[in-house]
Amino acid sequence: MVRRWEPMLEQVARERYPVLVARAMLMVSSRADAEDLVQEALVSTFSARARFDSVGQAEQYVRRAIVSRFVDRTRRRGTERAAWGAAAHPGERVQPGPGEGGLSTELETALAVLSPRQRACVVLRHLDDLSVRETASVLGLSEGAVKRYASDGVAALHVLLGTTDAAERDGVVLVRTEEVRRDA
Amino acid sequence: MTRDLIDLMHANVEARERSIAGIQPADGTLAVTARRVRRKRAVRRTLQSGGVAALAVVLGGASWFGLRGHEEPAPALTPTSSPTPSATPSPTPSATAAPVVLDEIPGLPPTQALPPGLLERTTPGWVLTIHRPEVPWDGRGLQPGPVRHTVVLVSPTGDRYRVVDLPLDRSVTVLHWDAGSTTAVVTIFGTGGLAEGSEARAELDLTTGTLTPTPVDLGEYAGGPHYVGLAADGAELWSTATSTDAYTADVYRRTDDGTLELVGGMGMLAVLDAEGKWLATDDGLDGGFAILDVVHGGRTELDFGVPGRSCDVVGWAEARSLLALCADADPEGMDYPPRRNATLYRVDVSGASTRTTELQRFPDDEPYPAMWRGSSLGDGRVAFEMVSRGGDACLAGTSLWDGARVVPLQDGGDTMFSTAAVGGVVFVAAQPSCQEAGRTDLTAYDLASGSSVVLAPEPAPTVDVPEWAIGLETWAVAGEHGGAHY
Repeated sequence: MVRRWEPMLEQVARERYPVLVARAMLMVSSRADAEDLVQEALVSTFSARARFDSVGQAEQYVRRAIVSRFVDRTRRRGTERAAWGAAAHPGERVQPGPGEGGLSTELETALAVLSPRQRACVVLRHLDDLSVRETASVLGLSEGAVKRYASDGVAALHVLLGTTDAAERDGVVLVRTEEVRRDA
Repeated sequence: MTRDLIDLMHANVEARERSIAGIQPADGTLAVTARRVRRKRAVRRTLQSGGVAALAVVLGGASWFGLRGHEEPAPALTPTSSPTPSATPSPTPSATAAPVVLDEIPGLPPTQALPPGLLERTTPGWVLTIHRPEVPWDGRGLQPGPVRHTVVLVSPTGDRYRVVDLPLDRSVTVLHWDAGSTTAVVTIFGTGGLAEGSEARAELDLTTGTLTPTPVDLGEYAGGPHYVGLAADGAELWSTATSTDAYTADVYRRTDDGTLELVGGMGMLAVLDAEGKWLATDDGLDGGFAILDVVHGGRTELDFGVPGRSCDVVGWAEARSLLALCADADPEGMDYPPRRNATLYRVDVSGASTRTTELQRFPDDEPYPAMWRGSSLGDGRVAFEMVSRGGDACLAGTSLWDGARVVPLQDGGDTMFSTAAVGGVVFVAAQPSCQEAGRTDLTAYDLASGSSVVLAPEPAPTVDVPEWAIGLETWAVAGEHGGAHY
């Protein structure tokens, strides 16, 4: 079996590492955890796919895997409920930060207040510009659940960051739909 | 003044990227990542190929060689280096009455033409193989790539018959094939681009070479659906991922008319019992495992019963009894390698809770049984690959739990293996390297007689091609519930 994925793995890991870690830091609070999440995403991405056409394509899959692995982790650890409890009462507005060195950016700080699924949906929908359907596919959620998580997440971010507009761009309609989950 | 959320998000991410520009993975991290990918891809191949290695099954409960009782330990076997016809009588159809001149076709082992009606007369233990020999990139100016794509039928005594040629621009993996059938169930991998031309399920007419797609309507999430194996009642088992990276999946039964029935959830690793009734999987909570009833439905989560240790299933020993390997939990969170104080246990799952018995410990510097890849003979004996303690965790040979101890079956350092077992015979495919593309040979070990026969040797070098990149690509034993290996 020719291992065509190995040079691609090394290229993605070496050339795109800061970008991937930056993406992971939107999901978890420490850089060490972010680097662990990137490794996990690299393993899952290159384990699951046969081949990639380009480094850019592989990077896209790894970015999405960072988010989905993060959500899968929280599912397994049962932290979703606890995190949701914290997000139900968002705190005061986040203060802007430089995002340099070890300090969190204001976006990272604000996202940390959201539940894991809200965080994931907001990042995939509004940073990666995935469609509702694509986001649902990546996260294994129903489209209705994605809309709800994204809408709630954006609303919370507006409060935390003093921003506007993103929700309107979606034309979000809140649909109360059960998520698709396996043998919960 | 209000800020636009999207603009702020992008600005913050760019600021973060700038703040950590130039960072690289820690020393050794990439190597560890590559090893983990290699392991998962190897396991996935086994699962997809239904190798679910442990799907070794005796059809209808009857072996054609007769199972050796396991009251007394089987002797360690010494593989022969050349084809040695089994001394055990077998109902092998007599295809040739007189010696024949074998055809030497570049890239294929010596073969002969398929006599009319032979396929229909095959019995459990015959093997359907597909060869796709490739000329490697070696800088010698040869045109690299596959030169043939040929289905070869192999008798239990090592007679090889060319069945049909397949298109070169596709890679066909046989999932399962029933003795006497002129049709095989296959997966097609397109080779021209990303998944282009791929079919998760197709039927191959072995008389014409015609490939007819027969889709499994489970979507294509995370590269699926994947063939898991064959249930005891003949239903095919397929999985479809429920997470992007296929860490979790749902298992479905596909009946003869194509109807899909949900069985339950599985993890990334799974192994079927010898009768095709139970699927053990790593998707249990808190380090346990789960068992699915793949005939009637139902899912039970169980504990290994070894507190404080990290455990994985090796394979099914008998109905309702598993072999498991447990080791000290790795403080770094990596369970593979190393495996300190690796110990083989027998886990009885017949009661309301598990009952665990220690069987054998493995020294920290010696190979240990590979997890989730055991091929069960259905009588307590299990064949499995051994994992070397080297940094790359390559496989170090194939061994057999004979009911009392682990005995070597086939040696080999830094080698990739795939095993199956049908009717008292263990089939072992080996590649010479676990790092690079390799030429596979396939050997059958008859545990009753202690003899072995090479069913598919590596392709012989030619003047133009001193070393082939790949030869045998996939194989399936008639009577094996798991089906193909590649």
